[in-house]
Amino acid sequence: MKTLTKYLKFWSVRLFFLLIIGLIAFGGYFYSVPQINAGNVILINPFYNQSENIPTWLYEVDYFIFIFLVTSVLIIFMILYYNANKSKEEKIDKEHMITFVEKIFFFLYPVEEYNEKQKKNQLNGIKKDLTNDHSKQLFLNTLRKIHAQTTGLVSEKTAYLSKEINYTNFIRANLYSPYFSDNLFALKVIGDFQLKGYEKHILKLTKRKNGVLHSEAIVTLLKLKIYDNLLFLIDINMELSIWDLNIIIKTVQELNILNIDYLSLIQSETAEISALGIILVRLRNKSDFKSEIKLKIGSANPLVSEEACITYCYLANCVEEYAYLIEIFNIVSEKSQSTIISKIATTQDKTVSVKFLNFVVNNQPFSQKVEAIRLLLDLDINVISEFRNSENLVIRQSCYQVLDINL
Amino acid sequence: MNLLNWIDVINNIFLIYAISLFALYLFNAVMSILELRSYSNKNKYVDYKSMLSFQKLPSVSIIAPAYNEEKTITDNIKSLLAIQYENFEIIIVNDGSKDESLAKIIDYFELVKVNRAYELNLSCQPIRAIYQSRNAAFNNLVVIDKENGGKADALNAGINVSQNDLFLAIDVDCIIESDAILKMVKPFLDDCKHVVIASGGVIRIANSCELTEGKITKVNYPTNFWAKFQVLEYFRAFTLGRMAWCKVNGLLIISGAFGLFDRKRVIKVGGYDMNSVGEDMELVVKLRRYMHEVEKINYRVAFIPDPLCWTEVPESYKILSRQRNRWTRGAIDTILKHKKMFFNPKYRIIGMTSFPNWVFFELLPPIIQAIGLIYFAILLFFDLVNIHIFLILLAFVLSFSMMYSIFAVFFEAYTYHKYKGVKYFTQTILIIILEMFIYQPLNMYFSLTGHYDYFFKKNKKNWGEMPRTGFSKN
Repeated sequence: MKTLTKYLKFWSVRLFFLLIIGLIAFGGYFYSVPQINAGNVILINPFYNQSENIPTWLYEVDYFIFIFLVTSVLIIFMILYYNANKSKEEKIDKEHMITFVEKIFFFLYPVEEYNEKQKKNQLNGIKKDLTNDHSKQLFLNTLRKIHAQTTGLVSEKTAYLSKEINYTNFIRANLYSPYFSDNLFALKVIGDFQLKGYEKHILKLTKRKNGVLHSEAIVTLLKLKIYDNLLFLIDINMELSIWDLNIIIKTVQELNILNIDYLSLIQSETAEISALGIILVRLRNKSDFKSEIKLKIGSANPLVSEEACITYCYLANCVEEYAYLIEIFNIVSEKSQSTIISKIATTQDKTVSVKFLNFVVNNQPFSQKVEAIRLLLDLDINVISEFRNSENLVIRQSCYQVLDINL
Repeated sequence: MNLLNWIDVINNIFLIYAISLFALYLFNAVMSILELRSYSNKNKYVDYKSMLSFQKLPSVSIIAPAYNEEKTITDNIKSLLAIQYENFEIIIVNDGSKDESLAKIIDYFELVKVNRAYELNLSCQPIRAIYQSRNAAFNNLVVIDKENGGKADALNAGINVSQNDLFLAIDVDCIIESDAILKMVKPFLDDCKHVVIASGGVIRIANSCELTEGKITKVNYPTNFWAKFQVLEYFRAFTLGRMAWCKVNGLLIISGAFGLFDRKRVIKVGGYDMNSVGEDMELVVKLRRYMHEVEKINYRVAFIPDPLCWTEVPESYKILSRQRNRWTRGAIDTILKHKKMFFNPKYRIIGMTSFPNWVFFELLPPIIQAIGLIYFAILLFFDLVNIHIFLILLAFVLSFSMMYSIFAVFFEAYTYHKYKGVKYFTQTILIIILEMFIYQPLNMYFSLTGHYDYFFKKNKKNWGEMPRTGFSKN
């Protein structure tokens, strides 16, 4: 029923605007003819006789002036309405927030533990304030935020409160609502309180073209911990943005999701998912996938290639791997090169590091020169004097920067 | 053809031009509604602070050129230091100030000369010294002291010293909201269909606003007569105009006071044009041209409608006229420099729509209006004007103009609701009416002088000074 109401509201607003446009068009037509015969009803245009004194086009300009003036007056009323309404809304929201937080905390931290009857009374007290959809959204959002930002008993109690308040229908109505912001609200609540039973619909939302909805739906599914191997990301078969990648990684890390199918992610044909798999391997230090990641260095997709190189650098620990990093140095991105520079400086074979870092100082862009000189300072202090007196101004400057105690 | 036929032809040309202009305004209104709705829907529940723990977040340099800003500079830097972002630095470029700006910041922020290395990717006046703070609280503050070379030159120097992925070009006297960079960076992350090369933001007017610790704490409607007009003008320009062009990916300008750019691409196009007084528009046009000619990939210039940047606007006739004159010269300069793009299908929507829009509806209106007035005076002199028709057409133009301005005010109330109260509302309605008879004709005049100065005066590259009263007085 609630969903139906939302759809009715959604379409009635659109119909209203269509009606206004229709009215303006009809008014324009009516203004241009002497009369309209609608069955037995005859509508006479009282202005028509004016058109005989002026050119037709000018007569129609009059109509536009009328429309502009009427619209201006209407907009002025709308401004007054919105100003009054928004100020009132802001005030009510502020008051509600204070009441909600107070009541939530009163429920969470009773002076004495409540018995069932007292609990029921408290719940009824809370429900009494939730008179409309807006206040319900505000309340659930407040509760959700407390739940998401806390752990242990507080978090458990907020979850309990959300369950007891029993707004299943309200959440469902928001999830199925035609309004995009309602969907987002429902997803946040479902995700944070881990409410089950909506997975199928959420899976559909992950395929929406609307980036924000798609991204929030993915995060919600992760929070529900149903598809924790992350393979559903491959099934969605949609491009992910860097924003999506960040959000997914953040959620996976925060929820400490462990059953990830790294190999399938790395091998995914969707570049961003492959990059996601590679980043997760790095964050979880899964050296078993080194060979798969090595294959991704030099991938046609720059994101995959770069992440693969950085991860390989992170996981490399033997002479052959260090040698491979030096070998690919010239074909990878600047960011990957910077990671390689730092990694090579840690190799056991000092001669290899010094030789490589010298190469960087003499041939690479200035930011890498600075980094290489900084690393060389720890390995071979003698080369520093050489750089200080270098004929190359950038090398000299880079060296001075490294030696500046204020930096 | 006799004289009356000629008059008919000229009248029709004016009519067609006026209808196109009105159509454009309607297009702006519709597009901006769609864009703003979509923006607010998409970002209603975004937790921007979560970005601070993102794995892949571009680093940002805030570059703020300063010239003779001793009154406000320390307050402004304090405001910038309050910005929330994970990996950012603030680069203040002292562009050869003749006052005590540099001494003040050295003293306040405990700065010392450092040997920071940099590459001269972009040409600029010599850098005298680079300073950083000994105080760990200001470790992301860098101050460049250089020879005077103008705003574009100072920005280029800042870009040379900066090493981050993106840079935010701002006026040092602007007050930036603490989450401004987070909001500006988001489009660079959340678009998987386009590469975002730059993002711009709304500039709001800070005159008469209350400021505490570098933050706007209370938004007041300006008390100054000229500033009131500009509030209305900024509503129209930013909320309606730029939002609409952003919707169709045709934005040609990002305000020089507040714009985030991809640093490497800016270096590739040669940075800011030091010979232009409209360096902000020139850079965006140049970047777009580069994307079409060289990279040839889907790209976008984003625009954020949230009020993120607050600035002082001119409060006197003299300074306002100077500013508008400069804006016009800058726009003409950019248009002429990139005239190749005009109606050139190679540049798609930019060449076929945005660029012609700038020519016909941003640059030409003052000239057409002036010609129209002279033409009307001649017709009046020879008694060739039908006063009845004239009055109807005048009422048509004024009623449309009023409706459009009222709509812009409504839009502000509907979305951000920063200005409140009956006093503000009644004053705004009055300003809308006065604007049509005072401010718009004056703006036309300022713009005409800009045209004249550009084409007939030698000092067309002159910036002119804009003295600041300073937020501290608030």
